[in-house]
Amino acid sequence: MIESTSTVLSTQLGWALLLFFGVAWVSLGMYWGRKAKSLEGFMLAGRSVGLALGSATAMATWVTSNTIMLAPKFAVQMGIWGMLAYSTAAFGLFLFAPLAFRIRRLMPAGFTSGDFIRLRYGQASWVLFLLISIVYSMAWLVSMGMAGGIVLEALSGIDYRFGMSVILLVCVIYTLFGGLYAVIGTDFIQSLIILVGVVVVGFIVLQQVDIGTIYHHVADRQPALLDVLMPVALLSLFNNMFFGFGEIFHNNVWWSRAFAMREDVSHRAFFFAGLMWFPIPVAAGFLGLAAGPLQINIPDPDMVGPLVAGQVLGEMGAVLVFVVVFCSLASSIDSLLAATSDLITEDIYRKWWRPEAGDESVRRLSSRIIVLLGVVTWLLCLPRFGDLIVVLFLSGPLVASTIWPVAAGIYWPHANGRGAFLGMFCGSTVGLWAYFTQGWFTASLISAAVSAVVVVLFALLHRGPSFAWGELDETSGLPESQGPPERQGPPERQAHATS
Amino acid sequence: MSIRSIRRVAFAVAAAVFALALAVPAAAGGPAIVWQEVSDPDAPRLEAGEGHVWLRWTTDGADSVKGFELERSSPGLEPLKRSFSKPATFVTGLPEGVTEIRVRALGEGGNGPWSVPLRVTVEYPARSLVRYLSLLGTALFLATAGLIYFGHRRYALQHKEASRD
Repeated sequence: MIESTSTVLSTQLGWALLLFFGVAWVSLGMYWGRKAKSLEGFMLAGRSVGLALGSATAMATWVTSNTIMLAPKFAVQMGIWGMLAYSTAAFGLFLFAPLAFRIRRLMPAGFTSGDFIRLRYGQASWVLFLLISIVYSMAWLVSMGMAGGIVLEALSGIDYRFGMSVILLVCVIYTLFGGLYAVIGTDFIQSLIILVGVVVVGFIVLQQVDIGTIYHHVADRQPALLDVLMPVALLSLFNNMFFGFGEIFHNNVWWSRAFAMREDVSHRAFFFAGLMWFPIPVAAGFLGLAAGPLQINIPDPDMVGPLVAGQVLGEMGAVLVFVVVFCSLASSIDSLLAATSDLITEDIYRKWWRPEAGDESVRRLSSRIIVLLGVVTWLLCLPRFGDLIVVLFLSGPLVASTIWPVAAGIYWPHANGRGAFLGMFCGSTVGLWAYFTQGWFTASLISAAVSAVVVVLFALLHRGPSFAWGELDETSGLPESQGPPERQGPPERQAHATS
Repeated sequence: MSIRSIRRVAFAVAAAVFALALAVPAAAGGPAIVWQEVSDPDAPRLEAGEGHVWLRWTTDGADSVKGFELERSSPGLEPLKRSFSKPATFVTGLPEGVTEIRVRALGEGGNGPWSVPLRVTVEYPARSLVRYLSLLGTALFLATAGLIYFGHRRYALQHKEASRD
């Protein structure tokens, strides 16, 4: 098959789709955002999100452009293991479900993941955590902005800079006006479109090539992809899983959803989101495996999925992929803009710089931060540097180092600030060393392991009083212990011990 | 046979070989290939620690090119990809060791000459490292899931009792 050098969609159709969905998201976002009158409404959608919206927003946020573009690339590079490696990111949602339940209980008035680290571990850990979180959020935003521009250009010939700019602009506008109400409302529609789109694309591709043909082709031409012990694939399975845990456990995107959901639905919503998300990378990865038997050349590894879908399904398929990618981009970029802006506004401005700031000024600043984040992301996306996987996986060891400080901090009263700080610091440092010396497929695993050992050692060696869980509820003022009563100490000693 | 005759025959053979050497590329007719982003263009090499390579090349006279054809040694020569139009491809699932890959242009006036073979060396991470890290990953996953499972069970019971009271 000689593929055409021109794009599958005409540029006019590409622009028409971009403008149609852009106007739709902005209008819907502004409509839903009418309710965002108070600060709590703007940041946390009134803390009353139900099961359907909660599951949909978590699922849609986790289906990023990276899912659509990297899952097929993983399958092409590493075969079945690669496909499964990407799917392990669903385990992060499964494990976050019980955490969300407890977070909601412990912090009924909490705003951000930074609030938890500050109250639980003290200032040093909080500063390091904020640094990791902001670096990761920017890496995620930039990788998605770049992915948006690249996909739109490949499918429809829209110039990279224009496509990327329009997507960022649309997301900034509706997040700015509607806050988390707009984000969750649009996420619901976007999750439905993504689910239907991925199922339809997968089904049509299956009509073109059967699984037996794919197996024989891979066994004949690329037997290494069927090797159960293929080294990089096996390691990427664990690496991706811990990267996913780190992303979800630490990032305010997920914590803000836990705070926004009703207490009785938060754990179920994350669990259902994981169930709905799990098959999506498998379906997207299947596109990658089908490239060989369908004799489709892959001139750019970042474009495997859209290319195969466009080649196999023609213009209709390309329209479908265009819409699914646009939805997955929008559903993740808006969430990141809102959650990162909350983190900066709440943690840096209100908790550190101006504790006396009122809700109105915080709300105004939050809007400005959303615009600023959009501008910074746009500037970083403009040069179109590097490989997508490099942008994303470089932040892997950083976020993997937060898994145990967060999980142990939520359940283990002996986990302490010194262990959390050193766990994140040593985990990130050793993980980055592994990234550059051993390969990206080892970095998150090694970082998480080092961090876990440090956190556990410090908790076991801890001789002071246990943490009083009531300190996490900033509204109560009274430490209400839910830990073992015999290990409780007076509040001032506990604060000292955990600082 | 006299020395003069031997010289004549040797001259004729040398002339024939020279003419053949000139004639073969001329018969190929199509444009030549130059590998991009390789360490040494005369004896091109690439390292591929993960078993995949992204190959890019240029051709002279790209206008007359209809497509490309790729072959690899595994262990004998076998076609890898045929008739694709862009001067780039992503090759995955390479076995450990050295694989030679060559490409040629397919043109309207005939096919071009095969490129200088590109030697791709695949060296996967050591099996012992993979074994240790896989064990570490399994243990860490069980520990993380265990912490959350037992932690949740403990505090969910307390929450239930508290709400019943």
